[in-house]
Amino acid sequence: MPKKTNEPWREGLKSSAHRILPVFKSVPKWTAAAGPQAELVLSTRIRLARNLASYPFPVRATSEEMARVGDEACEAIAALHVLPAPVFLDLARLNRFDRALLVERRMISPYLKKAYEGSRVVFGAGEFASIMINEEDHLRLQSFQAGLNIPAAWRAMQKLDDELSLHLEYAFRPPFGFLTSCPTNTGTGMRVSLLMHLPALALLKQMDTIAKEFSKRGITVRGFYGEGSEALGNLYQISNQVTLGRSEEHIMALAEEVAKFMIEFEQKAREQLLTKQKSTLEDQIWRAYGIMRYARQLTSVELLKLLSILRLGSDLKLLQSWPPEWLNRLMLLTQPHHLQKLHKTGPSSEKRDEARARFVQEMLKLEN
Amino acid sequence: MTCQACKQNDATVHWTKVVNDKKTELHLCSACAQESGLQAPMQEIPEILGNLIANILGELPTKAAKNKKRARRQERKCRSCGSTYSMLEKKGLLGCAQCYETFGTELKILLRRVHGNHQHKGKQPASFGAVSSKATMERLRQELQEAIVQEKYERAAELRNLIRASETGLKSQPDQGQ
Repeated sequence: MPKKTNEPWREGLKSSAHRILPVFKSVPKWTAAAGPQAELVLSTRIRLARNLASYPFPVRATSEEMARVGDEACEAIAALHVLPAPVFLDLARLNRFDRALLVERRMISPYLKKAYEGSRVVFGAGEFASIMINEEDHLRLQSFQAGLNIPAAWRAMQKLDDELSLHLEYAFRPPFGFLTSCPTNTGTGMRVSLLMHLPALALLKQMDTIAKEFSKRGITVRGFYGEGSEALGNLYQISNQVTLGRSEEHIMALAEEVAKFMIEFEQKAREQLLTKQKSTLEDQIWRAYGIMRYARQLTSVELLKLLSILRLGSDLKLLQSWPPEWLNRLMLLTQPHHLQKLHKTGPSSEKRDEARARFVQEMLKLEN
Repeated sequence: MTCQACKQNDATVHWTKVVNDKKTELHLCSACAQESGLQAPMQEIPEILGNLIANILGELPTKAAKNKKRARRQERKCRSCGSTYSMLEKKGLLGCAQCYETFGTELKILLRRVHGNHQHKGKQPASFGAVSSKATMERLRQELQEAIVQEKYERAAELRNLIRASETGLKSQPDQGQ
């Protein structure tokens, strides 16, 4: 491809630090609607790992090679119009704080919190999709949907991947398939991740057994926030472990099947809670609501726990019902870096916790 | 990759330094590396030492042979990026596409352990020559028509190129041809 110097994306990369501000003033559009099974499944994410054939993987590439990978990828993305109104960001030109904001929004992975020379991210309006450049692999394509919606996420992903593959020569070799830096991604390079809220199963201490059972079938169940079985806010990420020897369709069908099983299992657990411990449950839910209404400081950990109880109460109609997308928005906007940026609290955790409590109360009043 | 100093020989010594999140890299051939003092002078000693100790302790020859074999396998380098198998074992990451060929035998075993399989069964990239699915082609053609109707000629030209490129791919697969 001929090299030009005046493409808009180059200008965009240079002014990354300015272009990031407007992004945080709105919530990602894909979180605006509820999506199928939204009460239990917060989001569907599909990611594909891809590498360019003619460069070493980022771990062995020189900064110059990484910059060339970045340019080739950006050129292809800009030419293809696969992302609407794309925002190109050079991660090395952003500070640590802004990168952490992008992690909270899931536009980049925690791996890129530490910016490497040549690491970039491109995402389209509405943040339905993002392309990380020079992560562990040259390209990590991500597609997001609200609720349980694997087909929609895959349709968008296919389009992106197919068109890019006509412009960029991917590293692909039989019998291995798509070649990735880490052998755990080789083959399809595909990870389907479903973010699920499973408070009743967690309360009945079923999650460890479930995780063990699914790992035998190549499915990973782990806490979305924090490691180990004590998942913060009862949020679990369910994703495929096996990427090789199964087709994309097979992987997606398995993920869908697991999600449906988990939904059924969680609902049974909720029925059990309702018949056996309704009064205790109601007490906990109203207490959580009380704290959210009147606390003067809320840490992000405490709020995640409270939001989980409130969400359960809302699902079970034990107090007023809040739309799932409203709860998701509240969760997104009260994360530490978002809060600090939007409410200009500075790095003091006390000020941040005060601002968090105030913000939650404003949101609750608006919805009442 | 060629040596950054003499720009002639293949770079076999890769030096990465990370200070305050800033990564600096040097890629040199062994001669230039030695000259700049980067080449670790101890590199070849452990094996000699190992043999010496084995001799002194009268270690069983089979075990010594095994160690030697392992050392040889670990020393094998990817000719494209210079990664060794022991680097893969340590970091868990491969260095480049060529590594899959260089360490193919070991990788197949590793992949079977991780995935239960080493045979890819999914899609292939259009640039690989085999597939843009019929559905993709259909979609591209439809988009081309729309672009022409909307007088978006630049986009139309791009789409035409895309279609041509994937058609060349399709022709090499007779059962998928039009």
